[in-house]
Amino acid sequence: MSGRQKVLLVALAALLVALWLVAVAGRRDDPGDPAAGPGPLARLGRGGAAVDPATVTVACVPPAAEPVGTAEGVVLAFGATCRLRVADPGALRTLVLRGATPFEVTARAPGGADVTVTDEVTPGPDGAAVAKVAVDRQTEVLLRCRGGGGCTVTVARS
Amino acid sequence: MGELRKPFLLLALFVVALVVAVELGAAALTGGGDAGAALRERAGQLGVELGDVGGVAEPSGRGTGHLALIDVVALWTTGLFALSLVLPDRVQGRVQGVATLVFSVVLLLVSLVLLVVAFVELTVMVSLFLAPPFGTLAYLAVWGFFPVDDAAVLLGLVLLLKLVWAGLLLAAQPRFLRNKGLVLLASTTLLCTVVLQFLHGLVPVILVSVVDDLGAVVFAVVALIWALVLLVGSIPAIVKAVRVTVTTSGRPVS
Repeated sequence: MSGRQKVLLVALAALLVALWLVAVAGRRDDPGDPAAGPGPLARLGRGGAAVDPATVTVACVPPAAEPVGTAEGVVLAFGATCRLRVADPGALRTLVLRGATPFEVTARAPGGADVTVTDEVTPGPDGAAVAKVAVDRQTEVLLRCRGGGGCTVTVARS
Repeated sequence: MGELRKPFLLLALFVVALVVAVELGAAALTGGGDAGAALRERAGQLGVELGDVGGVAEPSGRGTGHLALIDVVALWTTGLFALSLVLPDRVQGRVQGVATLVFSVVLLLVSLVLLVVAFVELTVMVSLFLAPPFGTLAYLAVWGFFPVDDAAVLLGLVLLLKLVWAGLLLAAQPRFLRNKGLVLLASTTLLCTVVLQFLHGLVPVILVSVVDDLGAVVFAVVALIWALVLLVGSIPAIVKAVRVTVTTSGRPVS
């Protein structure tokens, strides 16, 4: 090996180490904001398919009228609380819940961690209150109606 | 150019084996720390209330582990050089082709399976992140708190060991520098290590698992390409070995 080759190899090794140091020193230390979304990485995801409303069973307290099937999905009208039991979808799916008035949703998050989440869903500018619950196994979802006036929530097909 | 310096070659073999061991053990060496408090903090940013929180830990990531798919090729190549120290050329010539064929097929299949696993996990991660608040919190609970510092230490160690491996190979035989395949392999593995470190620093901490998984996908593809190169490269050696066998077995006994 000539002296020139040796110098070139040492320079290459030094360049790699320098690049690594730049990568370590220049990294972002901010934890990030989950509400901001994944940015350009969103392209790597797939639009999660919705849970089939037919695989959802409902038990309400006090007992409410029987759920009604429509083209949009299954419509539930209830006074205080409803427990939805979603059958194992076999893969990651999204349970889409739509209402016109505020309602509260409590569900266990998918994945291996033991995390229970409660979210108060309020109507957006279009007048619809929408909750998307990610499920990857048999899951119980609790719906609560605030205000006492009764709620109507649709388990939507999409 | 001189003789092959055996101690340096054996040391190079030991070091590259250590690299593969560290990468394969990355899952055990990093991650696992409790991240429950961090999850509660992020849940506040999403404006949701968390009930029970348990089993929330820092992930270990796939990127460093998938680097091993490329480095087993370096280990295999160094191992073949070392094998020449104990086997006669005639025997090695016959064994090398078939062994490389088997190794490349195994690497091809393993890389393919791990590529699919990493890709599916990647789409699940992003799909969860895009389904706030329940999916986002599930993502955060499983993948949201990547141990960036631990991974940087591990990758630094891996990079150092790889540079030592390359240096030891050159110390064993400077003519290795003329072996274009070996130079390309060393460049690939060194570059992939630095790229992974860059990926870890490119995004906020909560998204590092996504880019780490993206790196794992890329490394599996690189390993697939190397497996194909080995597969194609082993065919002439096998053909030559078969010809030699047929010629010698057909020779009349005197």
